[in-house]
Amino acid sequence: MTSEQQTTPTGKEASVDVSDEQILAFEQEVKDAEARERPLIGELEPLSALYSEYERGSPVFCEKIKALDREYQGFRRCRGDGNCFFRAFAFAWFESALSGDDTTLERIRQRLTATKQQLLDVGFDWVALEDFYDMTVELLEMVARQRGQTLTEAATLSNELRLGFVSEQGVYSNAAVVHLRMVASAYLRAHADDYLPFLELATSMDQYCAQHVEAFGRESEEIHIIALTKALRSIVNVVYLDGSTANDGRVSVHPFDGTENATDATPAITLLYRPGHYDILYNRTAA
Amino acid sequence: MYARGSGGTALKRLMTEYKELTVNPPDGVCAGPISEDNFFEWEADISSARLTTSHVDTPFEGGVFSAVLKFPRDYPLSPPTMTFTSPMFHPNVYANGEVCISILHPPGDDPHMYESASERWSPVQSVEKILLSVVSMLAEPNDESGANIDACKIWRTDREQFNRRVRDCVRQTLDS
Repeated sequence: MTSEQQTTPTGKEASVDVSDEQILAFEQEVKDAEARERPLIGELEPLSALYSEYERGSPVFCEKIKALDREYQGFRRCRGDGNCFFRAFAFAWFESALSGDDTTLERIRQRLTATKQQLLDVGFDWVALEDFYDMTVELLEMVARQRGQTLTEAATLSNELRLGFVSEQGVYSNAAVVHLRMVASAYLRAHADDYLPFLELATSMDQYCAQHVEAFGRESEEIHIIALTKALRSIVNVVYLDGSTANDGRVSVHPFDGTENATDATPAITLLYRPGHYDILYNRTAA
Repeated sequence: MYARGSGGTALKRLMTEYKELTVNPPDGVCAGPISEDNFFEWEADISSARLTTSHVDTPFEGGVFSAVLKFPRDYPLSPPTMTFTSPMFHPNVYANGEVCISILHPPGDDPHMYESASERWSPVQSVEKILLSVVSMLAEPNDESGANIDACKIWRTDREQFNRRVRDCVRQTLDS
């Protein structure tokens, strides 16, 4: 799932004199240019917008998108910059705090402020981390204040939150991404014995975390989702939209439940996964 | 509506790091903004004091090497670049003085596939960690990810000549 850039050893056959380094730089440029065209967090769109992208492509995808459309109200695109899981999570988590009742907001606020101690417990240098933490808290509180002031509609708050995520070149949501990456890393480091056996190529948890979790722009795998949901005691449902025809071609949902007991639950977040990328999915609410 | 514009985060972080480096300077390493008007360009000096405490014998001992660090507006999401302004002959320093070590590259950006296990840039690294990595790089070159091919070759095949070329650089840093 990671986008490790494996260059094929074509250097020998190639007649032009291009170094591996130049090829990698070029590939990265193409990816970056594509990524920049999308906002960090997009507006809520109907699933028909996604359908039109696959219309002329795989019939398996088309059928699955039709099925999703019956069950979900819409989706919100996230920029594919390697941080999409963390940014999508941050957005959906804060959005659930703002659109929920006061208990939900308070719970999420507490989970967020508790992360400071989690990071200190594994010995991270606070000087390097406090800005990211402060800005993440500010991102939530900025919109939480507006929620308190007036009878603002949920959709308006979501849009304010979206502006917070994309404005100033995304400096606030980038901070949230870094902070949540550190939270996931701290969880894995604190539970290294439980998780290291599942990491085939890693020699130590510190090394794995430094390279694959903490690094900005590094794509996420299941272990990132497990770590983050456990650390924040939250629930993430990942809806897989892929070309697989197993399970009668139905969309499969993978739940990641980090709660300790049913009473401390916060609203589940639903993410749409397409190989290599996460977006946010919205249930059809009764309202 | 949000207080910190782009670049503001970087500035605040750089000021914090500068303060920290001034209050608790690591041995033999000294760094700070070239001018108070521009926190995005620093000068760093790496001096012999630190090198002599290294357990490895190195011809770099005794030199005082100056370098310029340039920070991007999105620092610390992206790393700075570091370029020696003193004469330098080293396998991991390009002929133009630019330092090429793993901590100055984020993990995705992988020009040297073989150094995948070494320490990479992430927002929790710092100027201090970079400078300390450069200190160990001077004492222990990594000839598997060479930036200066000449220096690599001579380091591998003719250590005496390598030491001589380095000591020439050291002498020049002391003369200037």
